[in-house]
Amino acid sequence: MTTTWRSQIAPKLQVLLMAYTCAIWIWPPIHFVASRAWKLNPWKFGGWAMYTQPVPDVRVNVSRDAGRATQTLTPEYLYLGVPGGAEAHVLYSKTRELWGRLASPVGLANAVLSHFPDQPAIRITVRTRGMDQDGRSHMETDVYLCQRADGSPACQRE
Amino acid sequence: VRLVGDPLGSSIRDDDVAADEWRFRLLQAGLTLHIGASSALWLWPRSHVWAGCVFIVMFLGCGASIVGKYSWLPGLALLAVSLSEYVGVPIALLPVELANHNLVEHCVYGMTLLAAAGDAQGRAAVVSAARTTVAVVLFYAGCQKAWYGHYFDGQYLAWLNSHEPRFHEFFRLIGLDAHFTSDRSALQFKATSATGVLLSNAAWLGEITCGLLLLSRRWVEVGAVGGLLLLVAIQMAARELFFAGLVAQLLLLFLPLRTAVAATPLVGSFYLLLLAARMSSNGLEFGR
Repeated sequence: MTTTWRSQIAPKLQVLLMAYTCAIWIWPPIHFVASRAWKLNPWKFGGWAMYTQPVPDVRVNVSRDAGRATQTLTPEYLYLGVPGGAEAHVLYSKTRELWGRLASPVGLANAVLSHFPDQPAIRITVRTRGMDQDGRSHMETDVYLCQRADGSPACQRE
Repeated sequence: VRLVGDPLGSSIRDDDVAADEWRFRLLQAGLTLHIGASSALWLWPRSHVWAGCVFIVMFLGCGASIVGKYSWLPGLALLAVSLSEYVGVPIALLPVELANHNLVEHCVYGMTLLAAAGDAQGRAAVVSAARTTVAVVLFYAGCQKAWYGHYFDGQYLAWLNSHEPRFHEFFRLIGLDAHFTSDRSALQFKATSATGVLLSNAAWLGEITCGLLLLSRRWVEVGAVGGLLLLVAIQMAARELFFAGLVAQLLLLFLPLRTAVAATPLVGSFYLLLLAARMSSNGLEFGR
């Protein structure tokens, strides 16, 4: 019984090791391309790009049209005035820091739009601090227009 | 229990199957310490009793790994405890908790547990995969620094000098802080001297070189010693001691068996000291 079990492990282990070795060779270049394309956090996801640039510092703001003016809903307002706003804001900020543009702002938009039933749309602004090739610290801004739709809101990067 | 030759004697040649068997056992014992210490530290603030249990299993696992019998049993228990750290973490946020070296330690340790229950050929293959892993880590760590391009003029080291106290302390200690002092109000970070630029470029070039040397047949020991020296130099500033412990163990696989065996007490002492320091002082930050 033991012999059978052990003899079954050996070939599977060889396949596993082969797959593992291929994966660790192939993954880092893909990681680099993906990190650049989607602004993924280069420190994470096993690409060995720690200490290549500062950890992305993400600031998320929400704004809505209030008559003629635009009202910015500060994180403090979301935390105190919007039910579920704190959780949604923290979750989106954290996922955005990790997953970059792959992180969806729909959850945050849903929490805010639920609080303002007459509001047709909101804007979510994501500012990410990074570093350019010359060593300049800079802010990169993405703005999402999130509109009320059937079911969950639909968000699009402007 | 049959031990395979005397690892400190001259009867085992470095290319023998017995040498790989011993390397495997040392690697498994070292990773057992690594995973056990990490899990014990995670459990310590939550439950001293469970941390104590992990401690006992860790020592049993080390003993079983060296003897080469039933090591998968305590190993599986430790792996389960270690992976339980991630239970309840939303999948989208899992990478926050999962550092790059955590991926490697769990993969390699899992493979040692499988191989421990398998045959000698499998164990030699795991040793080979572990060697490849550290070569890849060093090689790509250097490549990524070059690809992102923040080391050519010392930009990132200057940023670290301005923003990270541990790096500033290190640069000041070696008398190089002036070479990386940037005007923070200008929001531009660059090395301010040729020495700074040289040091910055030496970091990524050193990593790539050591990684490549580890893949060669002729210069492999030079690569291993170079890698260890580079690791010590980097970790004096970065202070990520669990990462350092893991990489050092993997680099030891390239050195002659006698050297690796002689270094085993050092590896053990390193983790025990790390555990003692972290458990006795909640305020001290010794890195992950």
